[in-house]
Amino acid sequence: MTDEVILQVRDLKTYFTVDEGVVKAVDGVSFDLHKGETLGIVGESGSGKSVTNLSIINMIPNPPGKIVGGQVLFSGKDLLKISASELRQIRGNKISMIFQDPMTSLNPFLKISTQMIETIVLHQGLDKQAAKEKAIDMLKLAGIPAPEKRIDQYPHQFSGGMRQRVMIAMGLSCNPEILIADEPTSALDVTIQAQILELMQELTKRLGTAVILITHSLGVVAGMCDTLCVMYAGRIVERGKTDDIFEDPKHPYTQGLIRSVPRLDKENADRLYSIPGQPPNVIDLPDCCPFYPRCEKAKDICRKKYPPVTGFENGRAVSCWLYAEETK
Amino acid sequence: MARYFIRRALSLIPTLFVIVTLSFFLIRLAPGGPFAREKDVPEFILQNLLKRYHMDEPLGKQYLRYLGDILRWDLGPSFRYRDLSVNEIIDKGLPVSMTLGVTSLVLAVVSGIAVGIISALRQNKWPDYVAVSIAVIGISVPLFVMGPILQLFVGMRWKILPMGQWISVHGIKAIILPALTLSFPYFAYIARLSRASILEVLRSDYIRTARAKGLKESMVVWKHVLKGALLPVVTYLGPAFSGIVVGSVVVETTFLIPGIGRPFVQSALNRDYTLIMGEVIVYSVILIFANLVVDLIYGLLDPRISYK
Amino acid sequence: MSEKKEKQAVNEFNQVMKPVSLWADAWKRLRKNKMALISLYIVSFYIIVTLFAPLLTKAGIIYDYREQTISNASLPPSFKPAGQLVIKKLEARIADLERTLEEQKAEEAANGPSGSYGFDFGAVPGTETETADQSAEVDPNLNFSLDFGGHGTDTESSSNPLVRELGYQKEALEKVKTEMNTNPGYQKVYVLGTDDLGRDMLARVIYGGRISILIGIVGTLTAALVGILIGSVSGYVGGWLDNLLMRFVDIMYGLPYMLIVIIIMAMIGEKARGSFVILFVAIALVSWLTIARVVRGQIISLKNSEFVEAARSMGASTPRIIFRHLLPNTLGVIVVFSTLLMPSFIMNESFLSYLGLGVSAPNASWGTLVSEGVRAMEFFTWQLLAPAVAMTLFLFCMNFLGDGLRDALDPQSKNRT
Repeated sequence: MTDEVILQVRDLKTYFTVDEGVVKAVDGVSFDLHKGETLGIVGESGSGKSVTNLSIINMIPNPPGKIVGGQVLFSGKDLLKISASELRQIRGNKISMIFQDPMTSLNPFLKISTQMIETIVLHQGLDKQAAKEKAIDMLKLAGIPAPEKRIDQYPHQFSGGMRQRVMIAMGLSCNPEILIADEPTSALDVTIQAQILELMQELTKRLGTAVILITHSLGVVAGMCDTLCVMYAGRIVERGKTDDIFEDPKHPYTQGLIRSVPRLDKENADRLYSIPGQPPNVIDLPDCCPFYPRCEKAKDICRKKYPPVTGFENGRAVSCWLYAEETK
Repeated sequence: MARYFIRRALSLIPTLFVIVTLSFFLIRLAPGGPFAREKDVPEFILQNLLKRYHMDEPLGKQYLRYLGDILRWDLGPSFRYRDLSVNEIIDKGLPVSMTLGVTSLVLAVVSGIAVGIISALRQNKWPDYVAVSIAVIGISVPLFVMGPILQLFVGMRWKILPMGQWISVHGIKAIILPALTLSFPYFAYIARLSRASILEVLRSDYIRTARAKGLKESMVVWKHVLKGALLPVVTYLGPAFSGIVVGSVVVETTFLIPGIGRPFVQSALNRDYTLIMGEVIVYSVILIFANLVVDLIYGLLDPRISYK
Repeated sequence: MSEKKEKQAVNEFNQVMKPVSLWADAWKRLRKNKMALISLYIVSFYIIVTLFAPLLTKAGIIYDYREQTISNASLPPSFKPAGQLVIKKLEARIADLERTLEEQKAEEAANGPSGSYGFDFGAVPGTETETADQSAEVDPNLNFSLDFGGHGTDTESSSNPLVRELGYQKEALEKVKTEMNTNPGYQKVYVLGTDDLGRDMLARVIYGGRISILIGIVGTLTAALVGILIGSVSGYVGGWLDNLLMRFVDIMYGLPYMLIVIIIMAMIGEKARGSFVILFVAIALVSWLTIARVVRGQIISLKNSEFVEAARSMGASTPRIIFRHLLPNTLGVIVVFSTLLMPSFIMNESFLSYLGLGVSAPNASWGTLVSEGVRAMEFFTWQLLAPAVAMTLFLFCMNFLGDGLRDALDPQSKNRT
């Protein structure tokens, strides 16, 4: 990981308009991504992690969603403002995205070769034959045995883990600067999960690709990510280096998350800890800290106003009234 | 793949058997013999007639004789039209009906899919509303209303197209109105079906992946969406053809087309046993065959079946 | 945050949570769909009018559909009283006759006397015209001579049938004119015209609708019941019973069942054919298939849910589970598909009636009316259009309504706009 920043997300806001009101799925998210860095975004379902990712490459379905504010700066351009054709040149090419469920993410009616070749031909200008060879190379890198034969097969002829390997191969085939992985292992068996994560780590380190990894599992994050963003109700509540956060979680939510992880090194079989309460229904959320109903350390001001960001050294930041100055 | 095909083919034989047997007993056991309409026939003439058509034999024997005849494709003489055999009637009318039927089916499929695509891609804009409305009209207007109305306006009042009768009389123009009438409800259903199917596929994960790869929207649609989205339409082709066969009875009557549909109702009303049986068998064979072909096409198109 | 009333449930942020039941939710969604809502109103209107048709007839709002007024036969739709229309018709016919006679005269003048005046049984070709007095006698050896003689008519000869008809029409015209205000038949207003026996088309269409809709509702209910029964048992019990039943359904799906229904109805004979029950049964036999399939699908997907397990663990018997637990949850699908089944049922019934195999006289359903209308469509188009449009509109609205219900009850469903 270097110090060169390749992606800057500033105050990203994506809202969804539904019958009952406005869902502020992403409400002011900001972070930086450095070259070669693996950034993890952690949060519960509904926290806004996936929407953040889709917003980065501007793939929010227009009714009912809309990116209402913020900037996504990449290669000197704001991805939210450029034209559709420029955007298409970046997707799959400079910024690649792979999704959660490999069963449904691959087109069941097209051969793997077709699906991989089209990206390479489109973005790298190779002819079909050359593209096919490149695709076979990628499959080999991804650990698929006999790739020359298997490339002409259909997705249903692969197992779940294999399919995800194909997705990864496809995602990295144009050597992107950033790979966004949206819960890539959640739909897989635990044993396969580890393999896939290892594969991702190895390939991205080799190719120098930065990764944004979305997950709800702290275990995954601990193993793979250099930096970490914790999201809750559409906002980032804590940010920093993974090791720092694990050692000293500052936000009560983060603390709760880490406490909930069952640990082998704890002797007594205590009751497993879980954060009391439910994630909020984010329709028409009032101006407050959304975590306050579940927070042990909530203060009066938490109910009234959203806490500002408090910065610490080493890239650490927290949004919590415990650390912020209450200005009246 | 071959096994799939063979399995489907074999399963149709019992169906055919059931139909043939069912029709036989149904018709034989229905009240009123074929001669019930005639004026009082002297007893011995009646006996002779019965004998000629083997109706004096026990039911079981009649059935076996009947099965044998079918296997030899001898459908017997018509009860009503004494000097014509059923085979002759069917031979003359079948090509006509098949032409009409296939034309209607092709028309319905091609226009239905086209409209479905346009409608899905322009969802909630005016082409969509127009298409959806036309589609609902299509499934709401009965064939026997559509036919006469087309005849009345296009044929009689505006005199653009011939009102009835077949190609031999009016040339190729004669097929337009009947084919339009017959295909309209199926065009409508196929349009709705393909629209819904395309919309559903557009929402699927693998289309999201395709877009995330930076593909142009047109490529996404043509290459990725259509193949999967049109499979339900292929499945529908079987019932559609079946419906066209049924509908052809009315359309042929309305437009005076010399196919096998027109004699069908007549033979039912006249209790022309042999003719009805012959028609039922012919229709059933056609439909069973058509369903088989559809299954085959589906199997070829869906890689999940063709590559096990 | 402001104070909230005690009764309303409040979440952790003090936001009011409105409880929403499935039906209320669906109704809200349906209301938004304008076309479906309009369709609902139209369908309700149809049902109410046809339901209360006998009352309306008694109250004199619509005419009796059986009443035949021959003098008012085949009148076009109009808001004017019938008498005026009859007059117009007669006048048109008279003008037509006069014109033809003119043409005849012209032709005669050019080519000499023509031999034929049409079918003339007794007269010798080229006979002189008789005098008015002579024509007062009716010669029984000639054909009927409805020549009233001497009333200022232009009829000169009883040998030219056109002239005789001209005379008759003019007589009739006079008669109508005098009776215009006294004969109640001439004062009726036929909004949709009349048929060839002088029956009010509006009344016939309404009563036709009564029959069609009645058949539709009862038939659909029957088919639905059969479908629900078979589908739920098949889905819940599974195993060989399920296989057998579904194979049966598959076979029936592939058949041109309407052809078989035609055969059945034709075989049955006229007496039995008039019975509605047979009609219901025949069509219902083939209509239950889709509902059975759909219900079975729902049951299968629900039968392994936790609430079913819970019920079973408390000792509920199979029928109880099916009827009290599973079916209420499939009600949504049942309603949707029943609503879509009804137009199909009515279509099938009118198809049979059109062919003469459905409802038989004196009852007339929309199908029968269309069948009659087709025969008259060249000259009396309204006789076809009135029932055709009425029926099409109803079916159209039912289909739209069914679609709307489907969207409202299951927003995730495939056919959602």
